[in-house]
Amino acid sequence: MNRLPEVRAAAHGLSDRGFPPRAHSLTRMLDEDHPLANREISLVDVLDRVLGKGVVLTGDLTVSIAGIDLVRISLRALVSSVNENVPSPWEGGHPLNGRIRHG
Amino acid sequence: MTSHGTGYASYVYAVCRPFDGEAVEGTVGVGGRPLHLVTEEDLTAVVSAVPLEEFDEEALKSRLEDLRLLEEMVRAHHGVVDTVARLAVTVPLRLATVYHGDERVRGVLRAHAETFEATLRELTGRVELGVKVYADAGTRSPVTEPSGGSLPGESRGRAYLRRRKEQRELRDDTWRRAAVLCERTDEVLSGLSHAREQHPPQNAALSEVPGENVMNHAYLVDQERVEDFLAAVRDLRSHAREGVRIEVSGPWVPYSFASPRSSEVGV
Repeated sequence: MNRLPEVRAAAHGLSDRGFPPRAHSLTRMLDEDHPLANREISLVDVLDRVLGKGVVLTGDLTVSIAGIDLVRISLRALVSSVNENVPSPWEGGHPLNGRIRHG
Repeated sequence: MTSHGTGYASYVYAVCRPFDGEAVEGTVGVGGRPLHLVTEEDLTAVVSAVPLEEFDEEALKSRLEDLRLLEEMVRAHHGVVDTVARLAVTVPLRLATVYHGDERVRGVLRAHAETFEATLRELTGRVELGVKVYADAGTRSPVTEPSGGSLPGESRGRAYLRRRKEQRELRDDTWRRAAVLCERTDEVLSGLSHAREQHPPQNAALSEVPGENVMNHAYLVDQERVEDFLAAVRDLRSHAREGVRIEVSGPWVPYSFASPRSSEVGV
């Protein structure tokens, strides 16, 4: 279980800043006793999607840091804030490369 | 709603089918800004007016390099996307897509209408489920007990080499188990999905979960097959061998399937 976002969210009072009520979240639309219900959404999982995926349109204001650069900047910041010595997860490659089938 | 002072820009969260704007009154986005809708024909962009000076390149860069501000922004963005997706079929946009005003947003909706239409059709009635596989040799019981000491008549040097060999074999075996679980998982779950995307494995320092993340996939699943999908994950989990495990997250708004395959939607 990932406690990091929970702790940080509480520490920074994020819930007071207008995030939608949890009951309204699609990620929490499952019943209370459902295995996926009531699980804290991990920041890393959100980052995978909000930074790593989603439609990339060329905005007016962020052209030069759009796309992959934006992802790298943020993840570098994240990683270094957690542990200065940890390499970026995007640069290490897949640990099982060459062992399992991809694609 | 439509005219902002020169000091404001339009931050776009998502593009979706038109819906009643009253449903998102009171919901706020990045920086605590309220939402408004920009509609062009059959497409609606969900937008916040944000101060220009907070979203130019330099400001954005420093914001993204500050973990607290990044998390705040990422969760606010996700919160809006998540809320809107309950009201209408939604194409989520990448974080920090910002335009000079709502007229530009309208122009983007016009320019990419066909692409958005195609994506909305693809995503209708479907959700994304995240599935991760972990390998953790450290959680496995040692093959030989006691692995710490020496066997009778064994020198300290030999005992050391033997333990190293045991550890290596344990690790190699765990990797093999993980590879088998990855293959089996992807085979089973792909059969229950409409599409599959790969995310890079997550860094353990970021996720703060034990073990090494060796598979990080997203599957696009029909709403009515979600229960089957989760049952399949439970089944895979119950057959997973020691040292490997499988985790599932979601349902997510289909972020991972919002872009046309292997191409970007650029102006």
